Amino acid sequence: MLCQTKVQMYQTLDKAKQLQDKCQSVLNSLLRDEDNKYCVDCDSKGPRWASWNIGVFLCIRCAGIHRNLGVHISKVKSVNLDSWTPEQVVSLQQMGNSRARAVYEANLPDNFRRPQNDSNLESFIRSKYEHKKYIAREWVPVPLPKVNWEKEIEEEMEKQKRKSKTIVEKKPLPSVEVPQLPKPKTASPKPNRIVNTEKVDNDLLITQNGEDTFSSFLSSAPKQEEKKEAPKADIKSEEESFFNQTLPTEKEKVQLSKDSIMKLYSTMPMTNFNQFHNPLGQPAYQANIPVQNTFQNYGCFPQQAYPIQNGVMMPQYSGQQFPNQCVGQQFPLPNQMQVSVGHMPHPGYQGQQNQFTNFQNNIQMSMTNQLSQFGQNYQSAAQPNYHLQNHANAFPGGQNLQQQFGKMNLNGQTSNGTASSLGANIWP
Amino acid sequence: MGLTISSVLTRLFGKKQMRILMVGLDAAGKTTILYKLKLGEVVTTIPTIGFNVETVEYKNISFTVWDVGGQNKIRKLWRHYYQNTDGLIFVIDSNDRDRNSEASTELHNILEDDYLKDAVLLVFANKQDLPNAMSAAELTDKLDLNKLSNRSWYIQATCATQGDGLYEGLDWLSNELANK
Repeated sequence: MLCQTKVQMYQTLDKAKQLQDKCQSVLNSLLRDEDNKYCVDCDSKGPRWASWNIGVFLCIRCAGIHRNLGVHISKVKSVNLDSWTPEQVVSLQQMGNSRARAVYEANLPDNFRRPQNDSNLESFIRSKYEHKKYIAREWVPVPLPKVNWEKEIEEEMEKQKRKSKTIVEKKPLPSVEVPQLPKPKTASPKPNRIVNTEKVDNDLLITQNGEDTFSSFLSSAPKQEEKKEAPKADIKSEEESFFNQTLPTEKEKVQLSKDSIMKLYSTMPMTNFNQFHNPLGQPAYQANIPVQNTFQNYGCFPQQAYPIQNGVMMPQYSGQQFPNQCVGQQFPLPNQMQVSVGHMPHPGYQGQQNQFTNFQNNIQMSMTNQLSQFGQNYQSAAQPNYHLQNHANAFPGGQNLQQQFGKMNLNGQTSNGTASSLGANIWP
Repeated sequence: MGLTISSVLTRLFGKKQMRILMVGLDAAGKTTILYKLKLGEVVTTIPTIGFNVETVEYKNISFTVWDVGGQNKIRKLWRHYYQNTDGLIFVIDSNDRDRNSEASTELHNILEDDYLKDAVLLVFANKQDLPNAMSAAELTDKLDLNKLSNRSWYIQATCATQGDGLYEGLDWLSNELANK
């Protein structure tokens, strides 16, 4: 009898631990999401804190400021140093940084520059969440979801038990499998983002990138798709976004051809790139960017696009075209190494042809990254002359622009049109 | 008569020392309190991972205040600070009604430790400026302070950002020290 209660106690403990593990693994996967790689308020890299009732990930500094607001506004937790309940995790899963920006920064002025010093940051955060100064008017807060992971875990444990009876070897914990997350039963405020899957045949890179780029400018809802392990895709498709934007699924993305990518860059006037390397223009721009590797992306952009497009490395790009300062800036930034070989800076020039194969493999991802990074930084830079022509139009939710781009197909003619309009928009 | 002589001697031969451990759930305001006492101003804080320690001079007593981070998973480190503690300050966010029981559990856990059996307990019911703050009386009830036996305790309503109540708390601590 005593033995039985002991076993029960162990089982409860084990269950609690599994629940914690599951929460932790979902949180970690959320943090790997491109959406949540930067602090929602100050844009600094690698947030490890969260406000779970608002549903955003924060850096430690902004976490400190959020705690000043009081728990009636923001409930702050550390991803690693606190224990979590499934409800809190699902709340973060439902919202996330991009969507939260769409909600809480819907009416942020066009030329807004994210404050970087403590007192300005605090007043920004207060006006954003306490006074709700920039909030989307149509936003209706959702009640916290009711989730029951315990039942699932119990079932999983049962399953495991049965298995372990037949197979002796130890199986990995099933609780870490992210895709088994139950979808919150409550009505989510965000209609399903993956609306149109019939466009698969038409190359959507431009649409996709355009959308990512511009939506990031606008701090709008869409999530940036990136290559992830398979389970991730399921979560993605479960998540929904506010503004009905179309975003290609993983599958669509796989089908993007590199030809079409090249088309995009081949039509970009070269002079546009040079503007970014203009040493006069640079410092002002750079000064506005706190941590991120904007320049790295700008700098690498043409270096890669041009040589490949012509099949040979163009000599004029090896060095002179890109001022050293541009290359030099890539290195001192710690922790900024990009995943893709496509971003390899200066030393890569000589070996670049060898990298072509790698590069081609990575091109989808790297360019998506570049474009969206550009978008983010663009926004944080907030220089008037870099602004989108239809920025103001697109701002309330980013709906217009996204629809606009969402309907574009990329075949020969339209690709030119799109690319040049993209160029015109991005590079003034 | 004896008391007067000893207080005269203390004035002549230096200050009394009091080792204070300040704990509480995360975001209760411990670090803000510490630096309000130390510097007299409200500093911008970030969550404490690890600890802060400062000495605060007040009424000729030198309070060495240890402020230890309150995140759930680092609370088990608190016990390493228990030894030689004269006074325990437990800070609670009076506005955070959802975590009353968590705070109560933590407090009673701490007080069970043998190292703290002689320590006096001061509870700061912090963040009284916030709209939904519970009163000190309400918190006394929620924290089951009346169930404490063999412990001298005191609860003080505070607002660390204004500095309200902090020195009243130190007054009580210094009185307790004098009575020992």
